[in-house]
Amino acid sequence: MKVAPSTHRAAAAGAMLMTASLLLAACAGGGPGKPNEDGGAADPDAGMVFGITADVAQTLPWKTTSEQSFQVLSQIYSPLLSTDKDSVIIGNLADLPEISDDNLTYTFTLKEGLKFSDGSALDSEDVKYTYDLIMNPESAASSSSFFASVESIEAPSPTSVVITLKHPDASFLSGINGVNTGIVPSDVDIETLQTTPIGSGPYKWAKRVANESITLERNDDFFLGTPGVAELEFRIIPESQAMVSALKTEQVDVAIFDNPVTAKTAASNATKTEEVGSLQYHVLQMRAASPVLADVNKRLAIQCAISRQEVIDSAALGAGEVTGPITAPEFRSDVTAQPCPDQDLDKAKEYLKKAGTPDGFDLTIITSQGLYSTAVDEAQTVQAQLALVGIKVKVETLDSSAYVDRWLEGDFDAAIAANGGGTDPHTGYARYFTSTGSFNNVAGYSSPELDALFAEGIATTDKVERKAVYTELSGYLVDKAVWAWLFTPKKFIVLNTGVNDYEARIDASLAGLWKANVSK
Amino acid sequence: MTALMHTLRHPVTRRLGEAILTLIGVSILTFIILRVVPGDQITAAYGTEAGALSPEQIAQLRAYYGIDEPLVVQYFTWLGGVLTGNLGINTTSHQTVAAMTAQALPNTFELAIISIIIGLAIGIPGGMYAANRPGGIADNLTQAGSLLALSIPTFLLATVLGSWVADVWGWYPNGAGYATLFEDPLLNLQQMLLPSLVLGISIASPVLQTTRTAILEIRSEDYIRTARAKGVPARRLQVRHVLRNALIPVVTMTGLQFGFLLGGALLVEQIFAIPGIGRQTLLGLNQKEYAVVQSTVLIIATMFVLVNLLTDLLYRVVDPKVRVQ
Repeated sequence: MKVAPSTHRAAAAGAMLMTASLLLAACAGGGPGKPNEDGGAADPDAGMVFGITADVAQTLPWKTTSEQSFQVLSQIYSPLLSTDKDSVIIGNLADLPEISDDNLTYTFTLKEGLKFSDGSALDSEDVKYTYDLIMNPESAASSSSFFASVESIEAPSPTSVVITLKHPDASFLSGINGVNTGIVPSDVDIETLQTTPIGSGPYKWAKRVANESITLERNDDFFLGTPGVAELEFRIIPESQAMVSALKTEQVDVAIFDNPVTAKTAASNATKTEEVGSLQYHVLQMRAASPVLADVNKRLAIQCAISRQEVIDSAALGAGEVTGPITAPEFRSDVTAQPCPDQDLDKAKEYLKKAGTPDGFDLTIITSQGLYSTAVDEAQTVQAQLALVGIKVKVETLDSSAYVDRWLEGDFDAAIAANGGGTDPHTGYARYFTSTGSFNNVAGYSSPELDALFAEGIATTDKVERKAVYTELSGYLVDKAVWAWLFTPKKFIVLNTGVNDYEARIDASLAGLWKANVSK
Repeated sequence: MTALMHTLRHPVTRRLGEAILTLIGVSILTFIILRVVPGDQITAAYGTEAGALSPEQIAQLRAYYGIDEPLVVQYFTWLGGVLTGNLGINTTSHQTVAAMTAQALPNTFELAIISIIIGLAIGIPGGMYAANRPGGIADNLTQAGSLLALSIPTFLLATVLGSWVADVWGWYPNGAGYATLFEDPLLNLQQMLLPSLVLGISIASPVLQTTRTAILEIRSEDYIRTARAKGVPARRLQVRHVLRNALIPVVTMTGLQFGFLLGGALLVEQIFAIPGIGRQTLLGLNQKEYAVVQSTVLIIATMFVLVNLLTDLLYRVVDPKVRVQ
């Protein structure tokens, strides 16, 4: 075969370009990743790179709602109280408060010598300023609901804050331990805080390259101790496989995955994985307000036809735990306390008969693509299970914006959803199931009994009595099959082997990240 | 008057007029589509928590994001800004869209240029090689390879290539935070390598097919036969007569590909975390940053139109017989 010389040359040029490309790649082999010795001494000058999938959506703590914003801002801002590894509320900027006998007055004493990262003092005026700001509707604070029962806030001395409630509220303290009640300096205008956040957390804001990275520096004035690394960078890598590659090549030190398959692919000699439970719950929301599911027997039939363990095994590859309504550790629902603790198709058929639809009925379930990794698979598993008793499910898969829109409008019969859970059952649930709750339209169910139970729940301050109220409430929710609670998912934290003292927490909070350090 | 009519009738002027009308159409369409898509900046920023906001809070936020005005007012306010050089602001990062674009555009240009070079470097020699052996095994294999490259989605190739290189060679420069060509040329070229290889492979395929077909067609033309009969040396015939004419459709193809690359490198930029204009559009869409998406789409459309105009003009250089119609 004869080849024209010019073709030879062009082909050779192409081949050379390819070879040069590969050589360039090979020369750079190993990348700029740093060497690590597992268990080596912590390097105080080391930096740590935390991989996140999106840029922060807000830099003002009281507006924070996205996971990434929580992760970053919790390193910059400190709330008055905090939670420990087991989600128990503990003191932070202030000790746990003294509570008056009528449960209406909370007196907080701030720790001595508190400072913001710009060196200015943090005192009770800053606390009052922050809380007043949150309570002002003009601030559009997502955390304003935590202050619904607050009558007034006073700062009688630089270290004393007195909060008076309109009525007893046992859930109040659980609202002021998160980053979106983080204290901001009263003498810095909000415009400045939007571009340069200033708080009293373990790290201070250094640099932001939009949609690429946020770099924080150690705050030497941090009141709890010296943060573990000199520089903490949050690097934005949107694609999970790219994140896996960055972990394996040691360019990222920590990343959190909710998809067990992706987490498994990240395992290598350079990484270690920690598996942690969650307060979040995945659920099949059934709107009793829609005609299709108005009959309690139809909802009970659905609840009985579902095997929650099978949903976990098939949709989440076993990475989850069966749950009842309440996931807060101190109030956790008994997973067996419901009409059908396990799948019971005969009982499901009985309920269908009682509903007057012995052969089943048609149901549409909305689910989302993009909000979390297992959503569509969960809907399909439920679809297959309900088919066993004749309930014909149409799964409507929506992109995240369309899903959020329909969900907020309550424009659905049933929805696969993942809801956040907190350390207090009232905070997470009153907004869904009390008749005046801001999400009651989404839940599609309310009753005088539920309203009374929620009112009793926050008015009861004795822990044992309070737990009994929520056990009753949880029982009511499953007996009426208001929703079908499925499981709490697991999260996978993949760490560079050189990262030590990382505190993996069930509430997904990074409040303990400041203790993590990197070995030489 | 006659001079004006003449100017208006001039092909280049007419093309420019069409281009402006196209861009106005694009801006209106983008504006409408963005508003038809469910969700707004409030739900993008607050997610499902937007449902917990009170009506007063929502009104405050609508005013802050500038979405409380009627749609027509919003459109003309934005268009007026664009005409005076104000492309709006990204409310998430508090950056102006102009500043964001000024940062992103060079990265996309660089990616597009390297990808085109790789695409041409593979496609033209490949096409020539196949055309020299029409119907042979080598021709069939080259064509099959090119079809395979064309049918693999770029996002899949990008993901697989990125993971494979990281796994096998322990090399993944795109995890290290992006460095521009001026900040760190070596790191920048390393970071551009995989994404431009992925895009280059996808461009190589149509370039190869076009080159091959064009060469085969031209070779059967009478004037080639005449030239050959006159005793023009084979190499000269190949380069001056066949290749030169065959390059005309390749130039058209490359121009179009370049235009697509400026807007279509979206997924590859996202996968390899290249902060270019494609990624800017995607992030703008996710965050429902209307000003960002409207302005970015308009910029991409403007470049697409300009590249097409330039391609038309390039015809004249490659083959003076061709005139802009």
